[in-house]
Amino acid sequence: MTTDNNTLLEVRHLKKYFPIKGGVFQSTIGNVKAVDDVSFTVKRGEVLGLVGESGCGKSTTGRTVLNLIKPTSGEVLYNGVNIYDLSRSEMNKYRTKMQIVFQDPYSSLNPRLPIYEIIGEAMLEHHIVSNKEEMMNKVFDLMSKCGLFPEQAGRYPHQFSGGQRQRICIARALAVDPEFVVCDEAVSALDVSIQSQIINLLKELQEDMGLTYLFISHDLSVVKFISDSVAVMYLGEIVEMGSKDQIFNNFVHPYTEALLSAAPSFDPRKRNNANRIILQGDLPSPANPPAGCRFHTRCPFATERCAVEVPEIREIEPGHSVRCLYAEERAAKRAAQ
Amino acid sequence: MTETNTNKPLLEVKHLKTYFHSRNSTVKAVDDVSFEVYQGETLGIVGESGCGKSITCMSIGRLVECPPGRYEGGEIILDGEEILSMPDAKLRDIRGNKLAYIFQEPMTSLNPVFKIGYQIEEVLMLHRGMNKEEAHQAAIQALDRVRIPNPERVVNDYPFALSGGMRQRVMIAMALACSPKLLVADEPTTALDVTIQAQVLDLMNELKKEIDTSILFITHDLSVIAEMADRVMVMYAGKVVELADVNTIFERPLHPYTRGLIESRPDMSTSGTRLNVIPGNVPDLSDLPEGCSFSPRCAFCCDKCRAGVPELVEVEPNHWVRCYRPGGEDLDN
Amino acid sequence: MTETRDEIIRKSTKEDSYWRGVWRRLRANRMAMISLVILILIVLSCIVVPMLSRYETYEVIPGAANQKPSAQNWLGTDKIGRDLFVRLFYGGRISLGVAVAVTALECVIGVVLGSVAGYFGGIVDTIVMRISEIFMCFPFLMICITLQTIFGKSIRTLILILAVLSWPGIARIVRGQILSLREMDYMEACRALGISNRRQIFTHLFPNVLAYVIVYATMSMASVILTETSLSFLGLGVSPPTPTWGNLIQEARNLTILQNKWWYWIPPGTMIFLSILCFNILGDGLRDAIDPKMQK
Repeated sequence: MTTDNNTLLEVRHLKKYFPIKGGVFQSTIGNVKAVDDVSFTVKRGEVLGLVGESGCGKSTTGRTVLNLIKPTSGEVLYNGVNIYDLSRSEMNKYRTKMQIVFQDPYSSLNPRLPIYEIIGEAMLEHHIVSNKEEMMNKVFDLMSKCGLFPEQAGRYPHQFSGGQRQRICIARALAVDPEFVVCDEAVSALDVSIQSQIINLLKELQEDMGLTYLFISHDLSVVKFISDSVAVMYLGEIVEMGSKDQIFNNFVHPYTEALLSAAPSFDPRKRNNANRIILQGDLPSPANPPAGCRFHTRCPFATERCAVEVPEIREIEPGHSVRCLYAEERAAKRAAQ
Repeated sequence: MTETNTNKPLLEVKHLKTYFHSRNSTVKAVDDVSFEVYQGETLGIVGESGCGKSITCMSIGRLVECPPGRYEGGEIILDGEEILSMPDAKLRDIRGNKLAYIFQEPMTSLNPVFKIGYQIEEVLMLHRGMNKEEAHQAAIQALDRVRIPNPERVVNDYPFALSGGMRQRVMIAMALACSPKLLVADEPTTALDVTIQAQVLDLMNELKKEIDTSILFITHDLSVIAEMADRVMVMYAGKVVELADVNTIFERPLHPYTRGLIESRPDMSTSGTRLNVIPGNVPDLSDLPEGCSFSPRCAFCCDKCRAGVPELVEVEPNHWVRCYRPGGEDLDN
Repeated sequence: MTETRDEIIRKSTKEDSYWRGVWRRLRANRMAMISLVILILIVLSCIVVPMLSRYETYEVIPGAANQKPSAQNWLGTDKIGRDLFVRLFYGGRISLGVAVAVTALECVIGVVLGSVAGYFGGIVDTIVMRISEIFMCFPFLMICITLQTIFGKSIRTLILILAVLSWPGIARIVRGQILSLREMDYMEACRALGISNRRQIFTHLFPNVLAYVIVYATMSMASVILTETSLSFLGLGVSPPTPTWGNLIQEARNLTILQNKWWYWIPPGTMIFLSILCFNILGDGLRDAIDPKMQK
């Protein structure tokens, strides 16, 4: 992993542990390893999809990358600069380059402020515009870019529907001219017909403005549609990472395989598929992950070795990394088929 | 695989109207909805938030809070008995016995202060007249049936000790404890992770074969419908807009809304630069447009659509559509 | 373009702002509006009556002790011949004044400590909350008596004592609000946008907390009036001859007066009852009007 000109963001060995407090004196009695040694790179102008089930650490990763949560250890290089080394005011400058869009369009907007202020406040704050007049012009621009009517700039959040609110959130994130946007389940809370509108909007904006996304979602079909490359997380670790084609068509890790086959097919004639893998059991707690390979408790192909040996994530073909003891064998078997 | 039953339906809903009244507006949450569920089949109801799918299913067990809700008309006939006019005592006997529910939130559907076993036993003692010991054994069996490991131990657990997927299994066990004729599942897997959802859906399909219960399956997720349903009913703004068997719905949808929903989905098998979208917003039920409720978002909308409300018509055998121009008639040339 | 923009800003501040919505919902609540009107009337008459009355508050009318209500003395006179009508409203000034002062002071202490605890969290939060718990454990009357003996009996001491003893309530509400607001995604968005701490606090946190403080303050007015009354009745409040509603009732504290001289205690009793009831109803109304759950 070398930083070249094409790399916008490089995450190295990122760890975030949340202490579990207990006992009379609230001492730390354990750690929830929400993100445990995660490394990845995002190329400029690309979309990296981050998929996984709830509690796998994908949202924590997104927020830690933006320095909204302080990491336990690790580095995040943005254009080659480690953002965790920056002073407060230097970090504040970087804030304009990296933005986030949240899942819940209802709690993401302050109900007390009119839309123009919600979108425009950061512009004044960062002196992107010099006066209110300029700010309003830019707000209008952004609103029409995001499919809102500028005439509605004076309204308050409660007068908008969920989909429109999400457009407002996107406009707010774009107000500071960012290069990199974390979309944290940005379309998950929306109705089906609205979801596709927002996905299209995100894709349009990405192409027009040359944005780079870290697209966090549990929905594989959405990730497949929007991403250029994909990382799959399980219990705080990345288990497989590669281009979209590698993950969706040449997947190697058993968890990726299970996730893909668990997603209900859109074709009613394909149901009762015999090859379908249904994982047994529940997600183990990230406070107490299984020894050995973290997936071995649910893995249909687990061997005794998996319970003991911790697999390292390694590249099995250019750009395709897998964390499985049997990665090479499984890849060879797939190729043979 | 879905030969439509010609025998008498298990559940018949005729012209059901459930409205919500507030001081200055009336929300027609369910507006003249009719459908049947046959013995052993799964009818899927699909639609977006506020389309009336949940209220429809709540109405079947008269679970809508009145007021503000009111059943303005229609009939619900379950196994030969009319539910809307039934006395309360009789209805209580039917709920849980012939008719059982599973809801979206397994967290809030179980009482946190009672043991899992007790909550199942209660249902059995009430409806099956079992004594404590029989009910306890039956509860263990019920948990075993939904593939819960160590049912003897889980009956003595409290709900918080179980994960979301396990709780949903307990809910299913409880719902099926009295072998109901109709199981109403309202978004039962929406709160669950993909791999857990696959487990629960798989379990429901297996159980359906085992005990021959009819299922009314409500969801916003078309792919879950594709997985589960024999027939599908699509709802929009309180009305049924399309009703057909599952293959027809996915292969030859005729209502523009159904087509839009299916085409707008970034499916696993498609990959392009843009998704097809349905423009506009999900309608506000207290402020519906004139004419067809879907007309402002419809690509095929004509003057007729803006003027009058179309009827639900059987355009081909067993395929009902509420549209003046099903399949974009007169426009595709 | 310029025109529409100005229009938008003007409209936004006029039509649909949050506080307009609150006011609209409050106006729809008839009981709350009646209470508000009654309270305004009470306050106005407390201000105006002592100014217009022909008698002074402490003026003893010669040979007119223990008079029944009459054309000269609308609510009669007390046992040394002071006009009870003017004393009732002057007493109202003191009672309401104490209530306003205590509430204001209590809210300032409570909001500051509560926001500090909620915003900074951690050890600061623990310290502030433990202190508030200690304050809530004090036996109220004993502390009152002790402090009054130490610092001397005056209205100012009374206000200070009441405020110092009652701030934990509002502090806890503010802290709870801030803790839950901090979890809102829009606060996270502020941090992500690099909005300054000052703006975060004053534009995003404070207005959201303010609504709850207003509701609490309204309710607190009622409870301070009641406390002051009880203290004065026990002789621990404002010392006579200064009239307060509590002191006026205190003067009626014997059986003959209670049975035969209704004008000693019914008017101040009614004022206390009315004002407390109105403050409580108004507070409830405000809470309903402010509650975001009522908002679509």
